[in-house]
Amino acid sequence: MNYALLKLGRALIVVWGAFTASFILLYLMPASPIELLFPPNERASIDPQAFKEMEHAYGFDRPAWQQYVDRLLAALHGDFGTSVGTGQPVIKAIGEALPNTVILAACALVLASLFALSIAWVATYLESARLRNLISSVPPLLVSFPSFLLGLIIIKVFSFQLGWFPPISGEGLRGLVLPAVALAIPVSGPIAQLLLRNFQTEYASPYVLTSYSKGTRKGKVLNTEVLRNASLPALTQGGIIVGELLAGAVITETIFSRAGIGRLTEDAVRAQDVPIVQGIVMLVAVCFVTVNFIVDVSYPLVDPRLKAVSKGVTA
Amino acid sequence: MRLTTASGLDALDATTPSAPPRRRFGVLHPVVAQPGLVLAVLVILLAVAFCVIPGVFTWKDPYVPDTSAILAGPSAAQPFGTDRLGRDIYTRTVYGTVITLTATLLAVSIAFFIGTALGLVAGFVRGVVDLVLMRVVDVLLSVPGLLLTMVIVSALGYGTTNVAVAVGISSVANFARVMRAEVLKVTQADFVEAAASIGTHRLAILLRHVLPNSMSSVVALIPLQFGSSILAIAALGFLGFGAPPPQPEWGLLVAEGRDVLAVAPWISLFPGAVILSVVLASNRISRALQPERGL
Repeated sequence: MNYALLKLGRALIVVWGAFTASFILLYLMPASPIELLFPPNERASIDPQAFKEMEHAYGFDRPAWQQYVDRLLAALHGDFGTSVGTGQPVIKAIGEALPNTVILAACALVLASLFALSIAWVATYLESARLRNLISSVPPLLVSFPSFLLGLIIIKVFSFQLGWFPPISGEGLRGLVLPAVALAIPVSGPIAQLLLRNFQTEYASPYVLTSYSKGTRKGKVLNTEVLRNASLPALTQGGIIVGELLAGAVITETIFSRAGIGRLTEDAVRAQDVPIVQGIVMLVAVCFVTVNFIVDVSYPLVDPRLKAVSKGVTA
Repeated sequence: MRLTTASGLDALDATTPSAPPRRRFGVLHPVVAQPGLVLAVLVILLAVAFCVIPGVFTWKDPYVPDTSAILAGPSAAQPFGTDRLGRDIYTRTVYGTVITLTATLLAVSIAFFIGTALGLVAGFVRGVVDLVLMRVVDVLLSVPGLLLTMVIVSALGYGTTNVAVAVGISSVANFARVMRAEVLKVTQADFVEAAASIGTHRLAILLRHVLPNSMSSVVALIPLQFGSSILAIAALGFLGFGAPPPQPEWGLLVAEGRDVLAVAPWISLFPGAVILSVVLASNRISRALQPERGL
């Protein structure tokens, strides 16, 4: 219980830190936040008098700490201000974009996990050293592959050459396939690297030899024993993987012209729409921290060995 | 007892000219047995050559349009084909190397110096400083690289330098964490304790003993960071936040082919393949530098 509270406290500090850092970066660093409130091409035509009034209306003429406290209190109530481009409240803009990205990310996560698992499984199952090395060289390739290039290649092959799927992702399942694959492949790289390493260490464990000596086949040993022990530690990467999915969505949604958090981010950065950018930072930080918290708290339940250790440490 | 002395003597002998022949083969061994690594080093050397002497690799101009060869496919005269203004993609890729790699170098330097300094201070001073610095690192890690970079770019503005600074800041946490772990390990070593017990000044211990002994892991991280920084800078260039259009920055080159992907795929694919091979090469070198973490 103490352990959970400690983790929760840490999580809250990170979220608060993300808010503070994004406030400093986005509201205090630019010479004038008011200028950022206008689209870049309209900035030259701002009337100085109106500029002063705007500064006063938004409260940017007040001391920085006062602005900070106000924004923090508003953020605690879920108010991150309004978008400069559309005038929509930030929460609403994010809320509208989120479901699309969640569907995309969930599909990509399932595909990525399956892909990474099969790479690790096959690379351990094969007896031929040459084939094994060939499969083991796939994860480093995936990690090095520029995700925007991958998206373009997928569009070129499956939309333009084969005509199986539309190049612009609309609604429905058919439009989801290509973006999900394009997002899954780069995300599967780090997972596959981790799983491959775990599979190899677990496969070298004495219990595998014991199972062999009992007459179990290699496939069964891998499925019933190695798979479980090797894939559980991947859960600890949960937060990072969710972050990768959200970051990857920026590229994927841009390439496939799909609405979602990624497109919203890209548009907001392009228009220097500060409130939206801060809202997205907070969304991502909260997702990361929540997933990590859940993993941290539930992991000892899944892996009883850790439970014993954490008890031993706190006692 | 006799056995251990004998093996100890052997180890001493190995460095003298009368070493056994097996040892001599071992010296040649890496080049013969690791063609991938040799290739990786060659790719990086070629990329550096592209930066320093681009004129040797191509005689064309990366900016001058050529109306006689618009959207021409790859051929002997234009190995990567041409774009819609008739500019040679190969020439543009060669001249773009210096833009992308300079930005990468800047990003990695920022990450390396700031990250190492933070990790060193956190690990050596400990206490409240460590606690605060590590929470800052946690915050940096809570927003994934590309998004963090975009956020910093939206505060700093566009341009290659700003993108490089943003990529650098977003990778500070990686160096800081590794450095801190290493410093914690080194400060527990006997020679540090010995230095402290003879009254060496804390700063002298830090600079003379802890810093040099904890550098190897962070230095090994550089090639890995180099690869991921190229990817990040090219991705931001692709999204249009980096170098402005006439420049042949790698990510921008790939983006320029996006609209004509159906008819002229070479515009995107060849520069993309160049990015991929340089990133692969630097990741391969990083794996060679940390054998215990490699596959």
